[in-house]
Amino acid sequence: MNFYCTLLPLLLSLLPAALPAAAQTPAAPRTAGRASSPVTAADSAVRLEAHEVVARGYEEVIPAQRLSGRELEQMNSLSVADALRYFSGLQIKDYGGVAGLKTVNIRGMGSEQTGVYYNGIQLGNAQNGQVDLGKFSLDNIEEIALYNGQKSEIFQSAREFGASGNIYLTTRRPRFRDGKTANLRAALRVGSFGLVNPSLLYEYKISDRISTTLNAEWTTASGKYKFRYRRKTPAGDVAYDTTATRQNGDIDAMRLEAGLQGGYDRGFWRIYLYHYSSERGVPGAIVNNVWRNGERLWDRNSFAQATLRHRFSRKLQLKANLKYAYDYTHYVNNDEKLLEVDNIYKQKEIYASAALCYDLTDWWQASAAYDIQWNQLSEYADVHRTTHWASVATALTLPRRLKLQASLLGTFIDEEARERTEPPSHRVLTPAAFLSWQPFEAGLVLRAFTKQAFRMPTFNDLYYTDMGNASLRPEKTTQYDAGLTYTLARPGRTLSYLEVGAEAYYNRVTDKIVAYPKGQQFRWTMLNLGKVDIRGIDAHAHVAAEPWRHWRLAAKLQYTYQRAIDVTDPADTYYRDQIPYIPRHSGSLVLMARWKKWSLNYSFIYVGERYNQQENIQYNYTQPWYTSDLSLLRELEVGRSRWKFTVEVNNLLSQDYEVILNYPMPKRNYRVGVVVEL
Amino acid sequence: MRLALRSALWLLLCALAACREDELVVPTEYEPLPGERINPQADPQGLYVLNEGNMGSNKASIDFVDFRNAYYVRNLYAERNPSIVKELGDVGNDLQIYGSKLYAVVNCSHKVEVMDARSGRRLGQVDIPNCRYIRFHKGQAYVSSYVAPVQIDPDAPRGAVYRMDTTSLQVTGRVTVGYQPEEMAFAGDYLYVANSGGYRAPLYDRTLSVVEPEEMKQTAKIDVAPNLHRVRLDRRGQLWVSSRGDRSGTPSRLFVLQKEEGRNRYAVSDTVDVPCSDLALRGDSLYFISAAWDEQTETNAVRYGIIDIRTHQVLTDHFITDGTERDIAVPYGIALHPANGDIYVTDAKNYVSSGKLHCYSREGKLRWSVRTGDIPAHMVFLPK
Repeated sequence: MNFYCTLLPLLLSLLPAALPAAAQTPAAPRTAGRASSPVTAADSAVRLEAHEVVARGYEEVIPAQRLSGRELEQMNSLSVADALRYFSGLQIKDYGGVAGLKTVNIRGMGSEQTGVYYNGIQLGNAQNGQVDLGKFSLDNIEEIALYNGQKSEIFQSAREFGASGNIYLTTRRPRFRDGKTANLRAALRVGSFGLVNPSLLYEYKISDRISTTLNAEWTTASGKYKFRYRRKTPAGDVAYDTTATRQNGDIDAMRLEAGLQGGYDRGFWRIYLYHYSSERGVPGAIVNNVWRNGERLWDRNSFAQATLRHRFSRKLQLKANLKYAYDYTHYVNNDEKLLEVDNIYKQKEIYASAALCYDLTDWWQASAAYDIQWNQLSEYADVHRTTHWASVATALTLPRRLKLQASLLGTFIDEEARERTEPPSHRVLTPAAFLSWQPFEAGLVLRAFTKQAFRMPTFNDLYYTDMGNASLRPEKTTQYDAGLTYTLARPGRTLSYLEVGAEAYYNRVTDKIVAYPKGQQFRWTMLNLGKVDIRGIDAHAHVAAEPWRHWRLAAKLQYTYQRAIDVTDPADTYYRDQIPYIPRHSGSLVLMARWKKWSLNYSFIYVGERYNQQENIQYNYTQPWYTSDLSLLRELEVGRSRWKFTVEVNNLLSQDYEVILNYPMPKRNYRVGVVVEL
Repeated sequence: MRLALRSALWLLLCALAACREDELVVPTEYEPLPGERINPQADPQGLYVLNEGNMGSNKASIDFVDFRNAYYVRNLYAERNPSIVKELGDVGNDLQIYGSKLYAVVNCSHKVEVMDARSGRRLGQVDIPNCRYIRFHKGQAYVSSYVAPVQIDPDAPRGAVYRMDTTSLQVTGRVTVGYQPEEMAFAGDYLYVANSGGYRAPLYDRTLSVVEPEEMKQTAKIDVAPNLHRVRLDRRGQLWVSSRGDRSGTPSRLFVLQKEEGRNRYAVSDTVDVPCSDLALRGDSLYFISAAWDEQTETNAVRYGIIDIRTHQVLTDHFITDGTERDIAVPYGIALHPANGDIYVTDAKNYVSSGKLHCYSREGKLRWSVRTGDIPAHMVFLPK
């Protein structure tokens, strides 16, 4: 019967409402707390621009994976989710097309365990815990950084110590050349499936120390792409071969951002406003006899955030963040065959944070931070949740070569919900420790960390009892990680840069909560999958060479091995089977060539075989997929204006693949773009 | 550099070794029934099992217990009908045999799949939106559907019963009934339709619609209880109707309807205080299974009972007598062998992994268990 099946529409459950949160931290200082004056912001920005494969030397205890500057521009990426595919240890769930939901899963621990930060403050979604990274445009993003564990710096807000893995999105910071007081950047991209994507950025220098940024972007696409399903009989005959057009995958989205920032003798401040509004179709699963769906979704995500960084004395610094976010989601199902649904969901979030860092000696710092957040959800449930985070941390730097960090985070949650006699309230302590060691003067760095993290079930997890999820427990992770990198930077030589590294990790997730897509995209079944045991290796190599005059060649290789198995109960038919949608092997290869003002970029992404349900049986097998993307970029300077032209081909070999079962991905597609900066 | 090169090669090798292959038609698996002997005279000769498959997974599938060859045949539809794009479909909801044809109601594919009952080969499909259950009467099939043809009030779309001809496979009529109708049963020349109102929670429907099948007219509604699901006619002319109850205190119950004295009209005559997920009739026994969610203990309260249809008394709560019911997570469907009284119970487990089919002797001892598709639910015997 499956009564729920047809009944669920209410759910909108895992609505990928990207709950933009965040305020702006000035460019994170990369040393352990010391010497982080506002100047660092500008420094690092300049550094970003100057190098394509950035040599960061021995600054971070645990280095981040980063994409920035020109590299980011060249990577055939429309959204942040597209760019993240090039990071190791990370899997993207992509439901296809410009409008399709895209979430990220770091090291098999699940998307809800991932923190996403926009200009330094976390984007939240108390309703479903997921951030749709497809909604974040790369247009004004200057850098994407991925940290396993946490940003290994002790001067940060308490909440940042909380997630199992963190992604930091940093928007472009204004820089004014030679006495200019204003920058204007206009861009236009058009492409397959009716994509039209213009954007405008204006930066104005109000005074020597104060500047403002305005940014607007519009994205529209019909989302009508061709996809193909083909099966053969064991004898080799074609059983069926059908090509159809994806329907109801259109999107119309507007993004507006405004920033005002300034520095003063003892610090830096920034106020940032963000507004995103979209209307989109929800294309849905392609199943027998059903080739289109009638669901529509309207989103409005807005937030205002403010950051202050102040240095009281040479030894004591303060970082304070404030944020207010409001999210509105309107979901309608127009399919005359199904129940008509018309629901509105509203979420509010208020967040405040203060962090202090004190230099005890030249080589020893300590920090303390306190954050408070209030969340509210209305519509299907009227729920409030107040969360407090308090952290203490310390960092030691011993004669330049050994660095140690330790942090302890307390999370305190009070919840008020109707229809619950005992709302879940929790107090949890989670520690973390980081170590790195540089045995020689340069080159080799060894590092290790261990961390515990925890996440509350989301409002959806807890209160959509109709989905059979009432008994969910919080989810905990424990991580152990050890790795090494070897870096060789030889500016001016033929082989100008080399970096190789590998990390091995062991994660345990207990009481893991897993969302299975159930019918329409926003309906899921929530499961306490129980215990997951994840062993993995991330390896990478970056090489850059300047073999001839005007030539620059670079290659980046990433490889991830993951054995993520369900170890809940030996009686289960899927005991010790690989968990759904986590491939054992995945990786990417990027090749870049630059000659004078021309750049050519080739990228290859490989995701190995996976299973779409818990049991690793043939009926749940999902084929590997791999795509090749190509882009060509040409720069021009005409007078004082600088132009960039790009041509992109994605899925060059037109592979018919699915990332998620029954959500076909586009075949070969094209984009062209032009950017002018004045 | 050498290391980089080597890892590049490694990736390349991995990639080459793990390339995509042509995707093959979903294969059928054959598995001997543990402990069963070949019996060429078996009658019925087999049992079809419809696995619902989780919504959106397109994994509805049909399995077959071959009594004659003592085999379990898993997932036979795709291999027997390789040219059907995207196989059987999404969420199987009912499976019946009428004459020589096998009918599968595939809810989220909005169709009734019609197959030859012996070969499982497709004869055709009838598109019926949001279809739920199918019953037969005088050469016509009646299919309940959550969707009425015209939605007068979009906030309250009523359901319908569609009539289709079993020879031409054409829809020949429809009638609007209550909200979200589920099972149906013929008693005399009237069709009784259990309305659930499941889309309208907590304002569930409470009625049984009475439909005159020639004219396709709803002639009456009988008030029973909230959220009706099953309706079956026993051999003594009584209708057994299950209510799933609501979330605010009305529990799941089983109701008996009998004809009022001297009138051709059914009315509730008795209530049996047991929850009921599925039921099956044989002789004067009504077997029921139930898994009722208990909010307080956060566990399923499971029962395997027998009711005497003459006295309406619960004879036992444990028709499985050897203790093996502990291996069942969520009992989901039940069927009774018409000849030897064997009991078939399906286990849906966690709804997103393979279920199980258990066969018990009429004494309640486990005979064998076998792995099925996802959410095994609906069973029908294939006669000789």
